[in-house]
Amino acid sequence: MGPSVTANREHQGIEKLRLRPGDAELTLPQILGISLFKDLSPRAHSRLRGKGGQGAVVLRRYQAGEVICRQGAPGWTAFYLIEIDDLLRLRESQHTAALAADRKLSQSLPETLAMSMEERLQRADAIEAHTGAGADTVALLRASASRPFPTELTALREERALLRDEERIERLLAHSHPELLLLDPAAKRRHADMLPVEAGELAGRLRLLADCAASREKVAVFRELKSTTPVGLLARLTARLSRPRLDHRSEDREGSAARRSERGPSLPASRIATLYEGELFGEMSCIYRTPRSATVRALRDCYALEFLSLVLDILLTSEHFRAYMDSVYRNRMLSQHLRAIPFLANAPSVVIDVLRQNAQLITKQPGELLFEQGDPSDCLFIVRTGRLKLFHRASGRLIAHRARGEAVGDLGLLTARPRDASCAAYQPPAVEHRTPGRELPALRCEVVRIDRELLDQACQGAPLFREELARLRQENSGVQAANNVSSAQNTSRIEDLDLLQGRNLMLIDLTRCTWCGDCVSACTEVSSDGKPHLSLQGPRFGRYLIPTTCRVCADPVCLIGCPVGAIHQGSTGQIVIEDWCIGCGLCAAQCPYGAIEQRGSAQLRAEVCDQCASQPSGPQCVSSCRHEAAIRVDAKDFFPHIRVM
Amino acid sequence: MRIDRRHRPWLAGTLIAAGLAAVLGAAAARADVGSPGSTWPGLLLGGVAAALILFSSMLGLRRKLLRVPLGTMPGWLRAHIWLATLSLVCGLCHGGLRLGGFLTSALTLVLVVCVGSGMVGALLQHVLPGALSQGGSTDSIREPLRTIALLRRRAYELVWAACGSPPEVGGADARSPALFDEPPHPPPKDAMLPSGTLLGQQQLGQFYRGAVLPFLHDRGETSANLGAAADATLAFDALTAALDPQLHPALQRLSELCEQVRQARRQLLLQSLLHGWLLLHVPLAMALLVLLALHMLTVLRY
Repeated sequence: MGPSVTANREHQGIEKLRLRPGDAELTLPQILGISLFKDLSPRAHSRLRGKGGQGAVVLRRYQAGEVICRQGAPGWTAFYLIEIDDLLRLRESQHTAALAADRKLSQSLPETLAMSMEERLQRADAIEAHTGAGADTVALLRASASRPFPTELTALREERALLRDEERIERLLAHSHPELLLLDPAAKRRHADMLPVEAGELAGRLRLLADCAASREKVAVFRELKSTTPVGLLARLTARLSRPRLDHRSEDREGSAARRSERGPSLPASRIATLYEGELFGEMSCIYRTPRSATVRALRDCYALEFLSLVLDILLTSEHFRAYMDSVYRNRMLSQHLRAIPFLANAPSVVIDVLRQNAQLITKQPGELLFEQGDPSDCLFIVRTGRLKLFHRASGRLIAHRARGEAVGDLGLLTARPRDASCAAYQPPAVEHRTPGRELPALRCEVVRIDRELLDQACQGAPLFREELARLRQENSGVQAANNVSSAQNTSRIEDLDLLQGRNLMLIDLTRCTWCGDCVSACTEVSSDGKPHLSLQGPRFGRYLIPTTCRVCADPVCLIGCPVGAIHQGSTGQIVIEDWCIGCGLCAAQCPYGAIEQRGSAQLRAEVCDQCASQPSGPQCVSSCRHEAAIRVDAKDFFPHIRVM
Repeated sequence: MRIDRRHRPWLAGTLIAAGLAAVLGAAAARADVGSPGSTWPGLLLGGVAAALILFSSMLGLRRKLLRVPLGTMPGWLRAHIWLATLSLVCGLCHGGLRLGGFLTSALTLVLVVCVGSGMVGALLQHVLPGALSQGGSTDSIREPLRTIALLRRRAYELVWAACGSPPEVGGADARSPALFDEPPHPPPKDAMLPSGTLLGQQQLGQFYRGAVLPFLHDRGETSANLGAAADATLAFDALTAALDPQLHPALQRLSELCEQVRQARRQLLLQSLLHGWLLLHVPLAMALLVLLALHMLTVLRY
């Protein structure tokens, strides 16, 4: 799929979704008619109605096998698999609007009635691009081009009836016999015939599913589009991780990554999951500006809403949407986050289920404290969105950041020692250029709180795990105290310099460096503007110089709050600043290491080291060093790790 | 660059190849056909030496073609060092350890000096980075020239704060680029001592003008030798006794700044040593290539 986003410089860098043939830009009443957008406040309505909302929500049609988003691509947008009822209502309204538009066009531009849908869209684009006027004509042409095809509405009505039965049964079977859902209709029938009499209910369900699939084959719209998928809901997609992730944290950060749907026929050993109508995906990538962590492909013809981060921000102001997101998080992601905590990695699923269902979901405003140094360790926190900052209370010295999926205080639950650091929601520095009135979701920190009592309660149903936990508590209470003393002495400089943030931290070994400057020259040579993104000045750590350049932070705070969404992470984690950067300086102000610079004479623009992502030999600063003095390392492997109770 | 265990295979290979070259050289010297270089073993050695010299001279070219996947730069540098050394052995064996005519004498001499200067350079680059890393700040690192410029400003601001007024700098304007690359910032009011109220403020100003400023700006005329650590300690100790105790922290800080400048200058010296040998090595390498071409043309012609 080609790029679906364009930068609209006229609107101060606000992006606009590009229409493809078969797509339809939604009007405000149409958007508000979709169940996802219900309960929005009047203020949200006005924001959607404003310039920022124009072209920000598009209904796209995908054919079977089509890639909706690709792993590694920038995550500018989020997707919503629209429910059949909403879709039917929407297509009916678009049908009515198209008929009305045709009537008006027959008077003003009668020649357009003979055009295909694609040609009408091209004509609308041409009018908009050349004259900038004729907004009514453009709207009419677009409305006329976004009509359902002739048999679509009838087909959708038939499909809705089928889906209700099929969905109900599939969801029942997904829990009891998920493997049966993978069978084709004929195999389902054969399996049903072989089942014993006492399993008559299951056999009946299988036969009904097979009948539904066969009925669908008769539905004109899908036969016309050559749908090859034997079973499936209208909006069924696969999310496939086409290549293994090098860093599982980035995988965890993406909400839609490796979703093993608990409702569908996902294969436990594979990295494929199925998404259903009414599900949202790509939202975490959109919020965090991280690359897509999965490729999503349409299993069969379907419709999906694609919308910009601006719309996601608006949705997050709705209680209804937040509740939906909460339930999605509990069902999809929380168990993964819990399993990432070392002592819960092998916990029985009954323990994880109790924790998942009963954990508190808490929202903290920027700067708000979670706990103070010296407080009793009575709970642990998992970061759901946003970032946490750990620091020493007395000195205010930063110890570490914790990002999505990472836990704080897990060690404290084992040792029962007081907290050895304070923890607060991350507060970015004050900047002048933030878009007024726009609440940025990433600034708010959402955490999951798990109390010691809840953990004990969860262990009630798993006596073996309870014993294991008791043993771990006993072991850790003595050992960890000793470790902390040495750790505090040995790593204070690492903490001061915040080295653990660096996933591709550049170090210069001063016992090897001859100050030849080859690294800076090589950087200059590959730099787009002929200026280096590397300065051989910076703090010193033992025999290493930490030069001023991008460290590829584990939790890149520079990504937070870009008003035009120009900064994001590339496929290998590198920071990328797109050419529609408006030079507001927010990212440069937020980078704690001075690695982002504002450059340019006429038009300022942020510049950052992109780790020579386009170079096959990797960062040229390293490959150009004859003396093996310049290295890039993952700080967590290179320096001792710090854990905070 | 450090001559570490990664050089062992190269050392072993070079020793073996040098042994073979010596055997071939001996065979060439024994042959009774006039010049050893014109025998088959001699010609082989000469060809190998020429090829090694040409390859060694391509290190500079490789630096320009970083994006071409032709091996790593450290690998090229190791090859450059050891193959150039081997080229010297082959070249000497090629001529049967004899200088011959003017052109071959010049070629041999240039080859010896060029390889010798390279060895000295390799040795310097093995030893000096460690020495460089010993000095300087333990907290942060800047280029020495920038460090010195920064320290100059700091010293001026320090004396300004201690004396309560900007120190006179011999009629020159403190904003002049000749003195400071960036104009010094006035100290904060709460950090500034009142002018003329403390014993020794005048002496401190005089000391700055007479000793510290010339030292920091590397001028000849100075009232105290602050370039030597021992002399500087004596000079600062002598002044401490004459100053009000409130001025002692400023004087102490000034002494530290002078020490940092000494370290930065030492780093500059070491850096110039690290790269200075190239001023000899690179022109000699160019001359070597020219002489080698002439030698080959002469041999082919006659």
